[in-house]
Amino acid sequence: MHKVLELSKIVLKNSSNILVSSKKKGRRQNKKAGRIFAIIGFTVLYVYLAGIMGFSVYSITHSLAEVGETNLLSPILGLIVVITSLFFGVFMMFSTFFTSSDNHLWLPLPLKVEEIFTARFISTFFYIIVIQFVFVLPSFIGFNLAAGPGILTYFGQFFIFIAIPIIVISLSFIVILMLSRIINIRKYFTIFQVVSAILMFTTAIGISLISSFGGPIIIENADDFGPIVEAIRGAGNGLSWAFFITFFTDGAFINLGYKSLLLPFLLLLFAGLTFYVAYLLAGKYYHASLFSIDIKKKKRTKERSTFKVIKHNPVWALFSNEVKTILRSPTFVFNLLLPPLLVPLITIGSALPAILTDTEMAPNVTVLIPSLFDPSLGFMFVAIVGASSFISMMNLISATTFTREGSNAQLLKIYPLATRQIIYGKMLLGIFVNTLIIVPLIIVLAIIAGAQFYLVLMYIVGFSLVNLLMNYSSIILDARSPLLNWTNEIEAAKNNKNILIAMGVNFLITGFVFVFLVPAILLALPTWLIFIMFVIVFSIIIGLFELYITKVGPRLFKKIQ
Amino acid sequence: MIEIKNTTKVFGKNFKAVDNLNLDIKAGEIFGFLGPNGAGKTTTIKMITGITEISAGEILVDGFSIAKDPIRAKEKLGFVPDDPNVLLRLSGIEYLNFIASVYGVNPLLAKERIDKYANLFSLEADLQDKIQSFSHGMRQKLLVIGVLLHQPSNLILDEPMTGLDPQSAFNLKKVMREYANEGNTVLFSTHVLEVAEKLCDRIGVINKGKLLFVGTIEELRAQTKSEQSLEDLFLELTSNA
Repeated sequence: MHKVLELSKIVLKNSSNILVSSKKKGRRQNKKAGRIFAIIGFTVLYVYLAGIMGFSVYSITHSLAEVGETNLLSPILGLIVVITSLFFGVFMMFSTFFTSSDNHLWLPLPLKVEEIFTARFISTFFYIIVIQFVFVLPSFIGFNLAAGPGILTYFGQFFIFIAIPIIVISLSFIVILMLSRIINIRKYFTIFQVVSAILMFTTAIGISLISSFGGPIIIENADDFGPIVEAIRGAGNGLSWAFFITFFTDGAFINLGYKSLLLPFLLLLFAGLTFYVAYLLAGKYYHASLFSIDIKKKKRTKERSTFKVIKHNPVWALFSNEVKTILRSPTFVFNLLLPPLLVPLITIGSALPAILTDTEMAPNVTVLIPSLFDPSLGFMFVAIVGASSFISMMNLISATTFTREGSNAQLLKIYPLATRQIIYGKMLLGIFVNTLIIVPLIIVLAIIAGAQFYLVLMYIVGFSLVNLLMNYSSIILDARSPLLNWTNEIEAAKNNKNILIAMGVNFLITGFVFVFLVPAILLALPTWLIFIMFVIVFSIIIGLFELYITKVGPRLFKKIQ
Repeated sequence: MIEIKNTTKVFGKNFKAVDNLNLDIKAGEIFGFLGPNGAGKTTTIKMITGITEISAGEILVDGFSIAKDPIRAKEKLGFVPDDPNVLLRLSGIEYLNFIASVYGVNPLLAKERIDKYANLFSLEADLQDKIQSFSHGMRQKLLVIGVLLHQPSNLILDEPMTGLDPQSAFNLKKVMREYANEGNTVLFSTHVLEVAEKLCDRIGVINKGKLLFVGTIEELRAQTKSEQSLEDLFLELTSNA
């Protein structure tokens, strides 16, 4: 067992650097300061994410408690655990067990295949548990604070917290292992990723639609809550039907007496059983999957290929490389390109049903929105730019620029290019993706509202400055401290601390945008004045970044070597 | 021409990977950089190419300081790293296009050179394929073509023969010789002493960050007053350090 635990520690360290910091050369003092900074940063980020999750669930539960219907949330809470495990677990399981490039390290060691399986299982399980701490635990706490379902249910919640990740990893492992007996699973990795992404999209938009039926969190009259309760009931029933597992998780949220303990405990037993089956099957079949399976190469013709040489501006050439590298990697597409697209879809998905189903609100919307696009209302500028910044927070293309290059990032330093050229070339894609998503949204909203052209232009300029600043800060963070030693692309695109830090910085930038609400509201400033203030402040900050790049020069890439 | 003047590289607080190195590599010569693992060869090469910052001293490439005037210096350099896993998702020709763009090579000239070297290294039928489908040797050859594409006056190769088949290794050695004969500087690091013996005009032996010897093989033999093979001389030199 000691061997397995040691191995799982190594697997975890090797596959994720969110939790474990690698040893770096440098002064002890700096390392200590860095660690303190990281702890503070992670705490702030955790409090933010967990706070949103916990408060949302608390508010909904509190509202439902007023009409005595907190039980309705039971299937949804059960499913939060299932979906979180599915979202993060299946992908992680696949990359850890089946596509990891570190097999060559373990195969020569005197280890049983079951030990490798168990070590990888523990590391994947630990990873999901950490994610659950962000999304699931706060939801449970929020629910318990508002509903107070009783001590037995708390044990039940603990059981499902543990059991569901085990079931998800075990069952998905069994399915993929069995599939790998029939087909070359590595060859179909792309298809697997496409299917996963579609499922992710569907589930995310589905959840956002369902949650949107929750409507206003605070209700004044319990009678008004009737249709919402019905909607949650309908959604809950539908979800229960789709996921029979909620039958067992219900006991963790509804006080069913001894059943509150028994049903989740049965789930835990089932989890143990699935793990045991997976363990047995691993002993029998997993060894074959550990050998790297060569993907059959395309048969090449021995004819001379024809080609064109096109000369581009170096910045454009770097941008073009970025586009090709990301678009040709399903991992990068699904982890870097799709999330920024997902956020506006979820936002729109959440807002639309609320507007469409509210018969009183719908006609008002057509009157309300145009009236907000009044040049005298400076706060609208802040609101639109702030909302656009919020949506752009999930764009982490620039935050992984140099990390994605891996050990070859050093070659960027041999090209006869100025630091600024490299930064521009590498940053363009992140800027472009944000622009592609946000600018059409602003234009559509402005057309619907019949806003004046110059207002639209101001919103776009305001957003563009934020976009530039977000990408600047993300890319500089990554250039200063890239994580170049990764074993699979998922690590480069998702499982690294630079992403969390960049998200935190983006969050701060978004918060800073909203600071402009203070003068806009308190002094009732018109849009043009707020716009000028905003442009001056953001231009100065961006100018400081420019100055920094010029001053630091190639030393910006000091850690890339 | 590469001039390394009193150059030191310190990692951490006081680990000297390269210690006060002085070396001039002249135009028109092939210079072999030899030394055991961890001797400081790659660190020196990384300092010359601008990958690693210099702690003390100066390196000039055709008279341009790599620290003070990096862009001008890098325009004069071409580097083939020991790890050829570069931009794997691009096709071979896309990579070469990128290099041509970065170094500002005229497209017609670039096409002509790609044709010539792809043919020489038997890579012409593979250029449209993704680099990730290439073998180690093919990737190495692609990087060599990339370097020759912009014809730098200083060619630096880190372990260039690794993974090459005999024919390609022979062709590379021939190209290196011709390139030096045209008045360019060729610097390469190697563990294969026979290659150094046959190819290099001069060699430099480095160990523990210090340069132990610079000169021709004959000068090395004269210095040690022996008729031993280069391997024996090398072992004697590095074990005495």
